[in-house]
Amino acid sequence: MKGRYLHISVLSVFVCLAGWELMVRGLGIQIVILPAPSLVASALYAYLLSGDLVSDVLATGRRIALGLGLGSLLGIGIGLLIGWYPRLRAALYPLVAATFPIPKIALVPLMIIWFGMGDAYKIVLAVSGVFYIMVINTMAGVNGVNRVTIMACRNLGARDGDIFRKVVLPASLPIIFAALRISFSVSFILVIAAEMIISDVGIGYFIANAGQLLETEKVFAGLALTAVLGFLGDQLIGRAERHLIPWQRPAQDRP
Amino acid sequence: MIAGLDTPSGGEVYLAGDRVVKTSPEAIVVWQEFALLDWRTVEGNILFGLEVNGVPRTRRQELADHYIELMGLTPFRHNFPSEISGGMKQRVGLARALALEPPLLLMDEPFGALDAQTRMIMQEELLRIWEGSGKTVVFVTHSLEEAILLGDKIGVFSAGPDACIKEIIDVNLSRPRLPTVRASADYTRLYDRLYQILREEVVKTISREATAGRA
Repeated sequence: MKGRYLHISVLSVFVCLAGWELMVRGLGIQIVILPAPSLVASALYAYLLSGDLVSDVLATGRRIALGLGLGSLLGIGIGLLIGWYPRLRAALYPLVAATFPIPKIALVPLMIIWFGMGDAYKIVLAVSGVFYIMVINTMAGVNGVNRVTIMACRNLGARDGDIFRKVVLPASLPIIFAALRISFSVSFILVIAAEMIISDVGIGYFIANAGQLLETEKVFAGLALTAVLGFLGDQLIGRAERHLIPWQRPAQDRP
Repeated sequence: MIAGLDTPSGGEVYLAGDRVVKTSPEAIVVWQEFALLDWRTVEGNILFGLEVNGVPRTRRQELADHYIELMGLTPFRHNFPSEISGGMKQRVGLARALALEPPLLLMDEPFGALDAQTRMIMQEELLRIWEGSGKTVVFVTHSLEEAILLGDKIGVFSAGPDACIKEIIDVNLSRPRLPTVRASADYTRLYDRLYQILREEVVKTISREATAGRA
């Protein structure tokens, strides 16, 4: 976040935090309801010192990454196939459309029955959420390639294989990346939720556990952590996007 | 249909004695909307046709370099289509077609999307490149002026849903064509004649649409 008004943004955050601190102390709000930022900060620090923060972040991070990775591999793969081959689309799309409306959270009991209470079910849950988003968007990407461009390429001598590899694939990348960003968010949500339901490690587990013990300052510490992780993850995807899709004109910066 | 991208509802299309059944680089189209590949640079776009036709690497590069030079694209060779102007994009469109050295070039209102000045420059460029190349160009345009300036023969289409070639006019202006030809008496005579023929058809179209509107 660069720009001429960076100092205003920083000041604004500062003011919010200071306001929050003063309000909590001044109004004597109970820690259970709303802890002061200073308390949250020390809870976060304690979390870090104990080593739990690192192991939780690694556990949650691993699950999110695997969920996103496997889900998008499957989703993009199948999305490309059903986008390109009308018969496959006729065969598979109804299945996708029928099961898509199911909120993936509702699959938790089933996942636990099938995969037990450990890592596996959390990852599969994340995969299920990511998969649908990637399939549907990738398919849309394939279908959305400009018809005239395809005609022009055929005219120049490209055959089906060329069109698929050299035209459809690169043309779909922008949509695929946009969907990837959303999928990351979804994978995050599902993993945290799964950790809150049954887990022995992870940020979701930390937050749920703290909540049950009414240690609200720890809840906030956990939330702050998720915000940071979410932001970093999105930045990572953005960086990969800029590297792989260098031809997009960047959005105009407004003064 | 000439490019093999559309099938005739009746009759057949022949190109150099052979029946046209599918599209091929024998008749390459230059499109009004450019139809470039956004993810490839100017150079990459010109190389595309050569790649898919299996031209060996060194030869590909030679041809691409030559046509980039010819179309004045050298300072832009590493730019993406989103970074260049409409006129530049059409130069790329033309370059990639020429790079395959087709006997027939089909140009579908190629300068229609360009502003008036760029259009004039592109017309001159086209004449410069084409005259002496021995290629045939089929050029579609709505502009009488463009047709006379560029063409050897002009096919005027009739109005209506069953449009056909109403008349073919020979353009007897000398080559090489210079922009100054627009001031000549022969040009003006041709223009008037073309205008009369075309005006009939335009009036028919308008009155037909008006009756359709009323009904």
